[in-house]
Amino acid sequence: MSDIYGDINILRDFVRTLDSEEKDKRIFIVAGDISFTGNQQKYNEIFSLLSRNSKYVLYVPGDADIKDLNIDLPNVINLDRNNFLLEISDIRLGFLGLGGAPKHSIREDNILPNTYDESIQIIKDGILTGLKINLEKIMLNNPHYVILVTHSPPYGIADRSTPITLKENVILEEILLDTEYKDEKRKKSLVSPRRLGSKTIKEFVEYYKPDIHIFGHVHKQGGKLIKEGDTYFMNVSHFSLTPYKLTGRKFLTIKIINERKFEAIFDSFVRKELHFRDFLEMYL
Amino acid sequence: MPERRCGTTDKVEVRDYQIQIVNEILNKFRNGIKNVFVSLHQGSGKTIIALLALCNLVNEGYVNSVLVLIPRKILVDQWVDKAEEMFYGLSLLRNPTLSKMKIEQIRGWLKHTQALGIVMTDQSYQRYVRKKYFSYSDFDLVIIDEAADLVVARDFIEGFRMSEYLSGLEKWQIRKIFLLPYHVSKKKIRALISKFGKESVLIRKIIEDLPTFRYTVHDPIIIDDPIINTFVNALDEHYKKIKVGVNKILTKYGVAGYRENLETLLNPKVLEKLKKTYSMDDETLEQIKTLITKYILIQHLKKWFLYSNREELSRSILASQFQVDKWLSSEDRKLNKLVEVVKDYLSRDYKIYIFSQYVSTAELIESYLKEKLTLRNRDIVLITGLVEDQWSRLDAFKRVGKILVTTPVLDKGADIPLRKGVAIIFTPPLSMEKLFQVIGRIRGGEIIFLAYKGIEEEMMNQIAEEIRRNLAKMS
Repeated sequence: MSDIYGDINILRDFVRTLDSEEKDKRIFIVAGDISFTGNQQKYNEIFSLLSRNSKYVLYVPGDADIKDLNIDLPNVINLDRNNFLLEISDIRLGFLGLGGAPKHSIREDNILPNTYDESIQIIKDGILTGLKINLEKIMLNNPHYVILVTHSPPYGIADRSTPITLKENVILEEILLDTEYKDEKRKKSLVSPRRLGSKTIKEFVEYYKPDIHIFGHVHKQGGKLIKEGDTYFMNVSHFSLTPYKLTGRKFLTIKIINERKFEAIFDSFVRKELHFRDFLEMYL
Repeated sequence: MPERRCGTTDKVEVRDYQIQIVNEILNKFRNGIKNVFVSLHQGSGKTIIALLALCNLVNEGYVNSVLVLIPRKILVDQWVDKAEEMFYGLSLLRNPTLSKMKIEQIRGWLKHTQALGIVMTDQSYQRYVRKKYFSYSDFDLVIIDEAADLVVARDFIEGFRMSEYLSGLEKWQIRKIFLLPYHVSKKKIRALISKFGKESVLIRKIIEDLPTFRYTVHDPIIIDDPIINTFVNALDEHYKKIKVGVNKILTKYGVAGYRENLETLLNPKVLEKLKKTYSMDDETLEQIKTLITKYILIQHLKKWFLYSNREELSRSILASQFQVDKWLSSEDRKLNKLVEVVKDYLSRDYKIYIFSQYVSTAELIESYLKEKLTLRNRDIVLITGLVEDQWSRLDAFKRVGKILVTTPVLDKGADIPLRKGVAIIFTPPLSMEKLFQVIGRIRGGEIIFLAYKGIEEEMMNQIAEEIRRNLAKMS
């Protein structure tokens, strides 16, 4: 899951739908934007809820999160610029991650704490080197799956900021800006549909080919599962009801079947059995 | 006598009525009129008329620099190519992109190539002018093609965008020629003229000796899928409820108007006005905003179902609802019907033009047809706003393609002449005006609508009837 934005109530709703007997087989992966900066209590609430209901919680902070987000719980692991090897029923899963988001993917008036400017070569090189070192470390254990978790998508894959829920809403956003603000930069950053992914991450996945790449950040492309080359790319945004109620409540389940086979299914935690009319009443 | 700098090549055959209209435009300018609106039927050669007028003004020494504004990127190429093919001395620079070229370079190019001016999209104009890279003093004439959306009418969103892109143009005190299709409503034309002030005039004509295009409008092809009506009815109910809710609030506060375009109420300026004039409190305003956002959302959801926008639906929470889930996992009956129709026309050697309102539906149509009809890549051409090489793709379709799938990106101005062709309207555009623009692209042929049995059927029957009436009037 990703982009929870501190919505603890939604998270509680979700956890209630899970089978408590399965919790020791469950790993939660949170691909960033867990809450908002500065609200450590919210982070604690979120992670303790997830931690109680799983074997491990692996996360990377998003652009909205504290950069050095550390949670003092034994089964909660920060994957940001880090790696982690997990062995379950003889299947070895090698995780590595990168938190934050490239600066170009954020609206210019947004001051978010966890961004990186990948147009600066030294920053880009640093990120890339970090990812390579972490990959080398997990490869020492010969994992069956290499799983990359980042907040940002790679450039060019499920990263386009085209509208998903409601074209008009996005246009109306423009209208609001046109009438409310006259700041050219702000408007430009909002109006043009563009690719928001990270070129550094793209370079990494292109050459080092993880088996699975999980990310969030670009809500409008949430729910996309794309296979390119040997890698499955999964944009898991977004979990909270912000900014689009219609596409929120979304999560992805990856079921590892054996050393070479897994299943990935997107789902929403809603009352599926409701008649269409009542469903509309409840969720729109 | 000034030197003759430009003229027609042997590629163009100028008709008498075109010369007559050009003379009218020139006379209006001579009499001090600044804004000339030209409203003519599709196929009457509005672009040629504008180019002829430009050519005359150049030869008379009134114009040394022209700016041509076009709503869609693909039409920029069409305009420049037409000008170069049909006229000598009318070299125009096409849509320079600021992200690729610095303004000094653009000015340098203009000087170096001795281009007469620039053809750019309305969107580019907005960027250039806002950055103050160009102003009215750089040009002697502005030609605005497909100018109907310069005022907001029924199609609020599109109208808003266009008028916003070209905002400030009304203050440019230089000569302007506006080109409009004939089917634009009189009300809209009046609004346009009043926007541009007293020095404006309209030339609106029915041309008698126009080559007539023969259209055959078929009865809609009906697709039976009862579950679609369940979804659409429920959404309609919800939609009406919201509309009633908003209207109740407006009536309670004695607000007249806004009911035709409820979306307008999302404009902060309007909300501010409601607050001041009708003493509406913040909570009520917030309530209005929430209701209208839902109202717009529901309109879209309805179309997602009707227009096979399965990609977006499958990524929304609706996909989890048991009926929607079942529907999404079954084959799309509308797409299957389309396959049947396309197959039939292909076997009869027709060129096929398929229109869809949404990009994702167009993409789905392209891949579905490719798969089901085992088409070669060159047989089917997809043109949407998301593809960069629109002009080259259109050219490829004209020469070798069999099926063209497009979105509103081609609804204005682009020529898609089909010698023996059929237009399949998979999803109708948002208004009749737009539908005429879409149909007008093919200059004759057969027209087919696809409609789900039930609500959509009734609407499509009405649309088909309306088109038949209008086409009969035109011919």
